[in-house]
Amino acid sequence: MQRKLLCLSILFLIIIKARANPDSTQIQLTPLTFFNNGSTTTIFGIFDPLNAPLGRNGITVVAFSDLYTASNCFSTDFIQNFFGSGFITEEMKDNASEKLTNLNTIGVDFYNGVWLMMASKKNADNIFLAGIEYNFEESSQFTSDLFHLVFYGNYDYQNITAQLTDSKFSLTSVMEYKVGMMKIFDDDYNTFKIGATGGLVQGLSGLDIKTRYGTLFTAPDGRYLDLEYDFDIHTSGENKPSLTSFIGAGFSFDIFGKAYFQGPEISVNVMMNDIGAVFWNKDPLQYSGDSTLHFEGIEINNLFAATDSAATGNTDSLLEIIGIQKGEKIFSQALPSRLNVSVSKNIGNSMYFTLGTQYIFNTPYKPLIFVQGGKTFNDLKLTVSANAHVGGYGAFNAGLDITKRFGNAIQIKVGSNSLLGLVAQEVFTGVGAYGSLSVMF
Amino acid sequence: MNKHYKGLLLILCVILVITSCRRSLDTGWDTRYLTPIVTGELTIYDLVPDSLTQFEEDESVTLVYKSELLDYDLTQEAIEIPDTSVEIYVSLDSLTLEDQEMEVSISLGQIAIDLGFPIGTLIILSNGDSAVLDPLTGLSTDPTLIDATSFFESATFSAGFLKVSIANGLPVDLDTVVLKLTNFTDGALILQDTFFYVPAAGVPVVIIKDLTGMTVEGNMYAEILNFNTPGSNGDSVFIDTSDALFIEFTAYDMELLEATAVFPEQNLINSANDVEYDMGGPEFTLMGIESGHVVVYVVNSINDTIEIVYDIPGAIGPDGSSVHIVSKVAPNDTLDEPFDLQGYTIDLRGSTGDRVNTFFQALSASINYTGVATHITLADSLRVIYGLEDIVPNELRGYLGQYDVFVADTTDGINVFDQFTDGVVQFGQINVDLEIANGLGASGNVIVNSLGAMNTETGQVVFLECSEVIGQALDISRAVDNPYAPGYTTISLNSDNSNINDLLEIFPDKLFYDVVMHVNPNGNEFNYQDFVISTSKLNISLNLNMPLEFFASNLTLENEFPVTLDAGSGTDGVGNIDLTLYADNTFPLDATINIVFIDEFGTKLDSLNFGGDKINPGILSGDCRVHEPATTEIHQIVDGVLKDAILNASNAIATIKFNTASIPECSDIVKIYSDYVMKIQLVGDINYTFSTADF
Repeated sequence: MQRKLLCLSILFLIIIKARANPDSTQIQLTPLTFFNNGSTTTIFGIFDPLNAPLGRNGITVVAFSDLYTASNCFSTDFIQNFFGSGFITEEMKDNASEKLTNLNTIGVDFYNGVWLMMASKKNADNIFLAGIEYNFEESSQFTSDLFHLVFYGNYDYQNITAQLTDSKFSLTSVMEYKVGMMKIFDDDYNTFKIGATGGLVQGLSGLDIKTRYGTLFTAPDGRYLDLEYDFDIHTSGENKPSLTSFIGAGFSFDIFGKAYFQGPEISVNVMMNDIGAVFWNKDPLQYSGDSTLHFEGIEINNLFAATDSAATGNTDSLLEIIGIQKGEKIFSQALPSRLNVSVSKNIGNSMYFTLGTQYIFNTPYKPLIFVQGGKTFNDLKLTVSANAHVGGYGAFNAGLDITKRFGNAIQIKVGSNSLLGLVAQEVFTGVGAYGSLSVMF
Repeated sequence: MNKHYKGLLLILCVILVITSCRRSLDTGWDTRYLTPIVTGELTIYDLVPDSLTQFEEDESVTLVYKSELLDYDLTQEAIEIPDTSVEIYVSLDSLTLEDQEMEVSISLGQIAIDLGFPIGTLIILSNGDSAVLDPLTGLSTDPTLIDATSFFESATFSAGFLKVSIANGLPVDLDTVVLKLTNFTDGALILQDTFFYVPAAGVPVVIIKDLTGMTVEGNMYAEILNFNTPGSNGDSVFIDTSDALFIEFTAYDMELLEATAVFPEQNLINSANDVEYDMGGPEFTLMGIESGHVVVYVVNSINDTIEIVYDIPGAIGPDGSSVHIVSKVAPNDTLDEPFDLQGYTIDLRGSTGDRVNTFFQALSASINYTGVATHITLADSLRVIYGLEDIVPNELRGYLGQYDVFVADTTDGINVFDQFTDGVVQFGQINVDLEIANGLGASGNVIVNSLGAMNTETGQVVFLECSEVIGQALDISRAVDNPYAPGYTTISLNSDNSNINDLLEIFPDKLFYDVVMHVNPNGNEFNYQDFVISTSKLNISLNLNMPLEFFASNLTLENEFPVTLDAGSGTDGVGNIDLTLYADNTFPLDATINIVFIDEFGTKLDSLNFGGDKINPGILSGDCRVHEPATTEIHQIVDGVLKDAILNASNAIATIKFNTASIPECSDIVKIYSDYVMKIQLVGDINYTFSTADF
């Protein structure tokens, strides 16, 4: 990883130091197409066609990556260790345990992609959009008892009934191939943008666990376990994810719109991404159970005729013991659709303030409210902004981002909406970072 | 560099870096789980098979077991009915033709006619008168047909003779009589010879012709080519035209190479005889057939149909009819038709009714008159094999004979104690019956030379000591008929008259015996009233009837089972385990458990024994019965070497050692009741390190 970053840095230096051919065409920039005042529809690094810069020749290629993870109870160091091959210590667990509520959440969103924006030669207000994205979303809602059982075990739960009801887990990993259009129009005073994209979803892996009801009672001294459950597990199967195979397929749409009111200098952005679903149809697996189980140990009828099944670890036998039914059933999984709405106010020539909200459907995401304020330094071609939010998978967090234009063709944006999780890892429960590179032609 | 290309290159680099950042899946955390692992119970049925247990009114348990020592099938082992097939071979060269005679006469009148005018006329006119006959020469006769077709149409002789005898009944002598005999069809010369002097009314003159190699037709011409007469020498002789020259042909000692003839009906084989079985002692008067057949095998190379008739009048079938087989064998054909005798009863008293081991049979092979000429050569033959084969009787009556059956063998022992591999046990009262079932309808006695038990694992061997049985001639009852029932003789063995307890207390897996049975030691005392049927057997068994009560010291149950807990089954994260064994026990036995884990080479890796702590025995009440279970809780920490041993083991050997625990008010020999049970549960307090790799 470090080596790759070093290579990238060196290459970056080469690129920025390389001088353009003096005979190259100078790009005439207009405020709207050259440099947005810096406001965006969202404080996340996803592709924002409403505010992406367009090159003088009307062509822009945007590559972006956005990683966000948060929880209402797991601190950043817990999350980092969980996903980063670390060991979760007792202190981390105790720290998370103190923040637990009845129902808790954790989510990981990882969005990446490359988009092409190309204005029509005949009418520059018609912009063609095409892009490829890789989206990974993992979210979980769990009871405090489930957390305890998973991370501590049931030893402390002797003579206690652990509640597992309404615990759920969802994971989708998909590739999306989209095309669309965006149109810019005005009423001679105010400017509007409206667009939509749609396309094919290639499912890579999917998992959906829902526990409608669940309890686990551990008898004193562990003499028996009483388990009551009603759950479904759907998986995309045991096929290895591959870009060359379709173990799931579906559709996805984005719709977005922007209105810029010149008078009050207010922009209203609305963006709805990934409206769609993926259908897992290649050897999907379903596990379901709706029963009660009183477990006193694997029964051996004749202690002196102990069989293989009693002396080996056989998962199939375990499933039979618990009474879980296994089957193959095609299932559909709604994509985690993201709604972003923001209102941005220009303050002077170089500053802006944005108030917005984001919600991700089909996940245990709480409505996220964010504020963002930024200032553009035109002579430096630099915009710096600060943001803060509350909601989502976690609690309060704040971040910064920087947008820098290099020449007339390249714009880089890096930032985070959850810097506090990096600064105070034991305290704050979210971490995120994003970056984008726009190349304008 | 063109700025557009710079931009594209940078985009590609960013994408490359981002996509190469992969999340590792080796995250872990410690947990502690408390869970029951296994549960089970040990009942009386786990100690002894339920098929061997019998429950008494007071719920105590009695072991009932029958061990068969000997099951001797007399009909299979000692009696064998031999095959009785007989072979007869008939060929043409063994056929002899009877001598045949034919006579031809040539009368004086016929001669006169042949002479014609004037001599012949004179003779005819002189008939009845006397006349002088002048010498005549060069006389001859026309050919005269000789018809022997009633004998054959043609025949080629390998040997034989034709005697030609001429008797002169004419009134004058003859000389230089040249006789010619030829076949009618091909004119082949059979005989041409000269009789030089044939006196009138004298002794016939004979010529013998050898027929070897000659083919003679049934129709022949006899012709006198020449004959002379010296006349009557001037004397008058009585002329009778009926006087004749008599030529007699006699064929004798004939042997044929081939012949064509219309054969009259005749038997080629006609055999009837009593067939006696050599049974080497038994004298049977009746035999019932379980399986077997009559074999009639005929190879007919004669160019005529042969009819085979085979009878066993004494073999009566289920329908009341006797064995009567009639078959035809076509020319140059083979007959192989076994006749099933299943269900038949054969009278073995022979044709006279006063014999034994004998049955009467009759076979004929004949040619029927067809009116069609048949060609037969020297190569033609008839081969007949007939008799009884593969006879398995299901009933034999008569006198079974006097003989001894010696049987010595080692059998599987009493498998009641198969699960016990070690320890000392002392049983209470044991009753064992030595039961002899005699399925033979014959008297006899049995001598048990030796009877014993062995434990092949420990090497212990104990011989039965019982003066009433060992070495004694034990008379056995004979089986009875109508209805059939074996004769039973039972000898009781118990701790008072034998050391039977010692035999069983070594947990034998083998029993051995050496037995002699004398059949009919006093001879034919029942005058041929003995019998044996297909189910008749000599069966000796040990019948055990033993209340399940015993004293035990380290009585050991052992079992080996495979263990395949490996890393693949999610055991990598297992840390220390505190195993707790809970037991509720109503058996008046304490138990110590030891599980030894071994690898595929049988090498011991480690063992799990709960520190040697034992499961508490149920406490006997004043009525010497356990009413309340005794509880036990014992622990074992599984870590380090032991845990590795369990994970790496391929097999485990589990051993439980029991010791009886009585109270002073009760005997050391405790009685086992049917409701006794040992409930065992294993609970694990498991330290487990989770890893996201588990998912």
